[in-house]
Amino acid sequence: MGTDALIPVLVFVAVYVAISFEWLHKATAAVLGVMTLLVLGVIDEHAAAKHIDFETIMLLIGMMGIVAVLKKSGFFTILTVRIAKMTGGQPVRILLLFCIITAIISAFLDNVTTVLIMVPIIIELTRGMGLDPRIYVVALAMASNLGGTATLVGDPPNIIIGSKVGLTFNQFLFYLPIPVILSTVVVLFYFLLTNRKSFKPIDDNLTQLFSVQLLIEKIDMDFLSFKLDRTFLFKSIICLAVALLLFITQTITHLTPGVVALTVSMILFTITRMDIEHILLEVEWSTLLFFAGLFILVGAMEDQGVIEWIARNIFLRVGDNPYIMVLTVLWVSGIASGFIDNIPFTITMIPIVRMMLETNPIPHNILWWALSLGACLGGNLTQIGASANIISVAILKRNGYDISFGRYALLSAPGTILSMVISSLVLMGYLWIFV
Amino acid sequence: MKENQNNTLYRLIRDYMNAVGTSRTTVAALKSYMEAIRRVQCSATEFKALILELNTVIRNTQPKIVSLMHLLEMFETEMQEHFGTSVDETKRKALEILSRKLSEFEQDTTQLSRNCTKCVTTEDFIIVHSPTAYIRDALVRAHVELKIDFRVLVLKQEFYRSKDLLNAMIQNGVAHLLINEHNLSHYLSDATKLFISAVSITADQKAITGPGTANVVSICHANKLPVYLFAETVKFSHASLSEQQIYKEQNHKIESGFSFDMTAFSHDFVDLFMVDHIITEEGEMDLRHPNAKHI
Repeated sequence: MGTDALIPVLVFVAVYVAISFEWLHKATAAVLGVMTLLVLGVIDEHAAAKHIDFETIMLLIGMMGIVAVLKKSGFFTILTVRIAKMTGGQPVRILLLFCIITAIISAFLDNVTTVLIMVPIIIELTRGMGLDPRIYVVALAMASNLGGTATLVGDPPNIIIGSKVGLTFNQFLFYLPIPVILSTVVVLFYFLLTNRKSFKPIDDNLTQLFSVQLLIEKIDMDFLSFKLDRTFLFKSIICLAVALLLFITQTITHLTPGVVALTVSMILFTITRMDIEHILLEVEWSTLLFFAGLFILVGAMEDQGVIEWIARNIFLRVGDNPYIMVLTVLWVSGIASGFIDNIPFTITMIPIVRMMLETNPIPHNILWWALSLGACLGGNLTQIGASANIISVAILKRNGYDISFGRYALLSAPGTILSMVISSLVLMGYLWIFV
Repeated sequence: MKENQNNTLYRLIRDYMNAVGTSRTTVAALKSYMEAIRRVQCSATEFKALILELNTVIRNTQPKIVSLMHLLEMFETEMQEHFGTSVDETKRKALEILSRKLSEFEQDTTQLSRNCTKCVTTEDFIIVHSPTAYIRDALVRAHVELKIDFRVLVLKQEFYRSKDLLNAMIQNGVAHLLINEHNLSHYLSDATKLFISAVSITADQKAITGPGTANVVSICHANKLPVYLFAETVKFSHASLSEQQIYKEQNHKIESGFSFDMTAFSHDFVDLFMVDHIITEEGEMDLRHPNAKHI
């Protein structure tokens, strides 16, 4: 690594700091960083464009489009009202049903969308019962991040790892659900155990049962006040099912997830006759810009040998013991993702992990699963660790429930550490079986 | 149930009333009561205590839902002789009585809606404020079944509630015009009557109504527009206005950078002397003695 590497490193650190302290919008920070490199001649625009992983961008646009149409169809509203009814107002059922269904939805759709839909109804339900919604919302955000870890399309770090490394949907589905399901069960059990008073049954309290029934009626009335277009809903669900089927059969069709998602979303726009201008407003362009900017910034550092230097001087020093390598990647990613955005972290880590694997190959992509689990699950550590947490805290605040950084961490950190321990054990199990 | 939990329930009931009106809230509350009885797990002696506790909580809603209170008073009286039996038998009897009360109330509401339809005449331009389901249904029936040629002037208030009425008007092709409540003066010369509903009617000749209704009634009364008040007889209270517990709240607000304290009441009240016709499920009542007899 020469002195030429100093500029991209300084720019990258400046972008990281600006994002972490929220001095600038993350998209602005990333693109400003790229423009600085272009102006200073560190990189030219053609080389910059080559660093962008368009597979990731296509997958994100496609999934955002499908989610936008699903939202319009009323699918999520019907689902949440049904869950609310199924809980019967029982605190334990509220926690378990909402969290489990959130985790399942988050495995296939965007986490932020999932919490945006689930959190308001869980606040309405728990507040109406005189319960503190904060415990439920933190658990829900954690479930969303946990569920998102299970598949290639569930969480941005997985999308990035999947497309940059060339891992298939089925490979994710084979290795990740085991630690995710175990972690989800343990985290929910931990919540139930440590907040026993909040989850006391209400079966012996007629007044509370009356309140709950009336509340569920009101939720039904408030949230289902729109007229449902069944054909529209049917088309949306069919398209989502087709997309998932094509993800699973990727090894047969040889269609990458990005191609599948974007194709299906375009078919969905066509058959539902959605106003494209209107739907495009739902696509998070700033997130896409942020991704593109980061790909270029990390690419520039790679060109200058910075990534290789980090890999050789930090990660490769851990030795060639696969157990230590896997645990190092998992825990470093986990702790870092709790405090900094896991998207830039993952983009930075991919070339590093690649170099670690070149020196000491570990079969069955176990080191990649360590990165995925660390980056995704680590997001649960603090309220700034993942977008789903930030959105959940904002919705809580809008409803009059402030939650401090410390209180959030007090609720989320033990569960996160437990999930990391479980992931460590599962990954060591994989190593023991496969290596 | 702790005080804050009761307050949460009262807020929920107020929200429900604001959204769908008192009659539909009464129906929803009775159904919820029945479901709560089905689900509750307790002994026979505990069951009586739980029923009495819940009835006390419901009696203290802010404002009082007189219709629900009266129905539950009748339920409590009928239940007295059944409290000694097994819990399953007591529950079965409670559900039977509540189901009957619910059915009777729904019949009253249907009859009231029919009586409301009779008040619609050809060439009418009816101002509608705080519409409950039975006024909405009556207007639809007058147009669809009786083919009466009339128009409706909808005063926009809580949009959820106005939306319900507007939907019905649009879907059934009832001629209507939606205006802001404060623009009413522009239409007073064309309007022919005002239809309102009430949460309750007090012993001291006041009708507890939705927010904004008192102003509209005053304007219509001053302009000699006949005011029709529709309410089931079960909404007539033995208590006075001061005992209706209309909810008053003070909130600190910040708007356009200006910080201030705001006082608001959940409901209005209207003096019955400004009301020209009180219609119940039994027909039109004598205004001077609303509790005494029908005319």
